[in-house]
Amino acid sequence: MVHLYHLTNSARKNYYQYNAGVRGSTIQEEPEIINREGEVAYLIDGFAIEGQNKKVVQFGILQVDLSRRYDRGQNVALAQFDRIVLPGLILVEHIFRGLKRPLFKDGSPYGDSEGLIHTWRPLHDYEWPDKDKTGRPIEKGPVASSVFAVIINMNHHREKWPEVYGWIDRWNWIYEDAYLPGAPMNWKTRYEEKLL
Amino acid sequence: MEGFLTKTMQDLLGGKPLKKFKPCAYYDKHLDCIRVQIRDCSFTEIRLNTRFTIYQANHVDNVEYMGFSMKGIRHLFEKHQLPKDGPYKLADIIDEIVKDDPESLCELIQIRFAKNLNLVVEDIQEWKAA
Repeated sequence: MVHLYHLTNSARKNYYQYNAGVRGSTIQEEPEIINREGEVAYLIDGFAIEGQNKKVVQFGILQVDLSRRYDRGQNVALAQFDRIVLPGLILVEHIFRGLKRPLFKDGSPYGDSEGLIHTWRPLHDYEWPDKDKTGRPIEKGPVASSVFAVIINMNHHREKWPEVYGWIDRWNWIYEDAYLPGAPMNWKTRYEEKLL
Repeated sequence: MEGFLTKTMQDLLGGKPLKKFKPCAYYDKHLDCIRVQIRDCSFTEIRLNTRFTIYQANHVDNVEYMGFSMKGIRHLFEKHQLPKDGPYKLADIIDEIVKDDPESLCELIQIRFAKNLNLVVEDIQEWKAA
């Protein structure tokens, strides 16, 4: 059972269009902005799986994390966030849990077990050559035989950020599985379980 | 910045120009890994094993690797109770990784580079980029 009433209008329209097979007109999604004690977070609609339920939740990313990418000049990552993650997270095809690799997080040596991996096949990718830094990213076709993955970790700071279900930590392309479209290669051994 | 579609991202930069990328290495505390990136481009992450991932540039004619990550760095420090209050040489960290799991690293090197080095590979099943 999917409840869509929490979705913003654009996210809801993207979701319906995508599921109706209309994949060419994704509407740009503007994240909700919240400020807590001077710390700014952007919230993006997405899906979470709890038991048998697929529900709409909000995933967050701190402004400071985007600013770090800006400071390093990782502008392609910013363009991908702007044009793939923001409008596309709601279009997730598969959700996996558990990265199955050493990860110490929030005081736990088992930080990998709660990591969520959302994957789908976007219609476009983006490059931003140095000479065009004052212009716009260059639109490219999707990366062949690859899927786009967003890694999300659970929110352990619910008292400060109660509306955040999980934090977006990483987004990138990875090879696609040969047998399950939209899923990463070797997903059965790479992750602990498949949620969606 | 007209390059972004969302007002949010435009506001993030506040009219500032984008910065020129410089090759960098940094610790990603969220995913507990050291990342090395030498070019700003779209790339595909290829997981070699649970410790190492390499970055392969997208939209180029030839295979080109432009970065990598070494994972579980803090995990390694906690596991072996290594002091975290001082600088480390990258070689020392790799040394700890090798000590932590020498067999998987040797297997990775052997499978990955055996062809180039003309090494004989025995008793290893089909390698899967898990």
